[in-house]
Amino acid sequence: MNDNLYPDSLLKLIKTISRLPGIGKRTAERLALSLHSWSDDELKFFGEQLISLKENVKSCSTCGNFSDEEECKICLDLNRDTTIICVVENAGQIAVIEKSGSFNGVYHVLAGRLSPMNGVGPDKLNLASFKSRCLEATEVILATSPDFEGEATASFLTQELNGVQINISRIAQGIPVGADLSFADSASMAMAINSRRTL
Amino acid sequence: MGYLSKLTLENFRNYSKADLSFSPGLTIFHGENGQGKTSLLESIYFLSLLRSFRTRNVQHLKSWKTEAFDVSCVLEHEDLLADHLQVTYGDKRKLQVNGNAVSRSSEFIRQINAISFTPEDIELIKGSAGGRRQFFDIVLSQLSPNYLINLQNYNKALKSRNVILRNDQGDNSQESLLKTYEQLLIQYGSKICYERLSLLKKLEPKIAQFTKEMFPESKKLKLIYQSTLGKNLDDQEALTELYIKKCQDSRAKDLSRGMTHIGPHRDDIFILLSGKSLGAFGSEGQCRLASLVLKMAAAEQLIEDSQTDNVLLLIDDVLGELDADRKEAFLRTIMRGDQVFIACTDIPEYCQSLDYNLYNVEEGSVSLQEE
Repeated sequence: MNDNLYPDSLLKLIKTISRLPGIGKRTAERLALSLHSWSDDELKFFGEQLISLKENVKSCSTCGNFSDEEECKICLDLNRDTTIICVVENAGQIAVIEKSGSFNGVYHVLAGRLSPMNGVGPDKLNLASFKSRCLEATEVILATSPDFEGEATASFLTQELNGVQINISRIAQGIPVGADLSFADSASMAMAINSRRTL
Repeated sequence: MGYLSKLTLENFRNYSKADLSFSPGLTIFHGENGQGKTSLLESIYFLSLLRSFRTRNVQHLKSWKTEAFDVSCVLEHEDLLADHLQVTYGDKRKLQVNGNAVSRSSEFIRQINAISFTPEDIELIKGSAGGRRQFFDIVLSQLSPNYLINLQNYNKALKSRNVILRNDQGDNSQESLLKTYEQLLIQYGSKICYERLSLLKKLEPKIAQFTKEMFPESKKLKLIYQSTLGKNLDDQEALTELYIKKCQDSRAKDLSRGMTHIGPHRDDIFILLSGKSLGAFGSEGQCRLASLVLKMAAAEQLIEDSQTDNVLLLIDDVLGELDADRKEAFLRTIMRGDQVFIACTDIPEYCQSLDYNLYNVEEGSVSLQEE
């Protein structure tokens, strides 16, 4: 970007916005200019949300989910089945599973996935309470991503639960629902064929 | 039968811009040394495998003082519409097929099946084990979509295990982490070993046949897969069992040196001529012939097994040292490819009797010679 196009203060804002995922230079420019047209009250409200973001949104002391309180809404919900724990890589993925409406258990957020090459060992993951939580449950679903790091993480957790009386399952992998088979890539197709089920 | 009908280069090596059209069969790039004949072959090879046979550093392919290079081609098919493949390489790599972006290289390669014959091939015989492993890995990646993915995952598992080995404090705290990556290492590694051994077995009769045609006196060329896992690895289950055991045995040594001593990344392929190591005892000429035989066998395997409808053979300056009979045997074999490109300073006699298109290459510009 030509640094002379905008005054420095606006330029700073544009550069900050362009750090967000999926935002290029051009979009950052549009967003910054749009913000500039907001009223003072609107901007103040927006600013306050940003300033208090980390303060207000904590992570749940039980599962690691986003939460306003000490514990998150899911952990406090008496209708949830605490004997089934679904393990996810990050808190954002809980919303995806919740939207599916197919799971009524509780979660455990790892806050990352194993990658020794990049210095992420088990000590960097939220595992302190994991084993003790599993001791009180009957099933744990490992919902880490189906790529190398996700598989390694799932396999590590399985090792860790060695000796614990619990059913360990892995989410199914293969063809997305509603997708046309002819557009499936070969790896997904192979996975779908290998994990087929009898009817 | 598929073939390359168009090739366009921009800022590639010494070509600021070049547009070439081809027909199936034989194309000859003719010119003096250093004019850019090899670079044309290199660009076709690059579209096939997204790598060069001359350099490991892709940035070297860019013309001097340019930001990005661009290589594209039109690939004709027998009873399908032609595909337009394009690679743009600046700061980032951009792959496109028919205008649609492709993110993974494993989805891009294998559209064109190219195999190169270059003077550097002699390193297959005289060079390090790494070059021989890479030769097998490339051929297997061309033959099977899963091989490359398994290899990439194996390398990740290997690097991860090595990091864990180096971080170990000797207090067993990393035990389950180490086990996790050993499982993955064995899962992918055993597949790689098995696939390499299967390929070797398939190549054997072809190597025997080409050795007969290429070596003047009767000689036997034999390839032996020398695995760090041991011998008799023909059965995949037994191989996995052995791998698990060897991995455990090697653990203490691996921990003390912070690296993994066994597995397909340390295997070698021994090449023997009449029972003797060719790399150590063979003459320059024998090594050169043997490297040609290996490549011919690989090309034949691609022609037989490939899932795509094209096998392109790229021949760079390997004919010079062959006598008339070998030259003819070699050219006869490679003409079985769907499309053949030869870069040379003198047009081989055998080719005179064939139909071919002749391109004159001079200082980074190419002109089709009209008949």
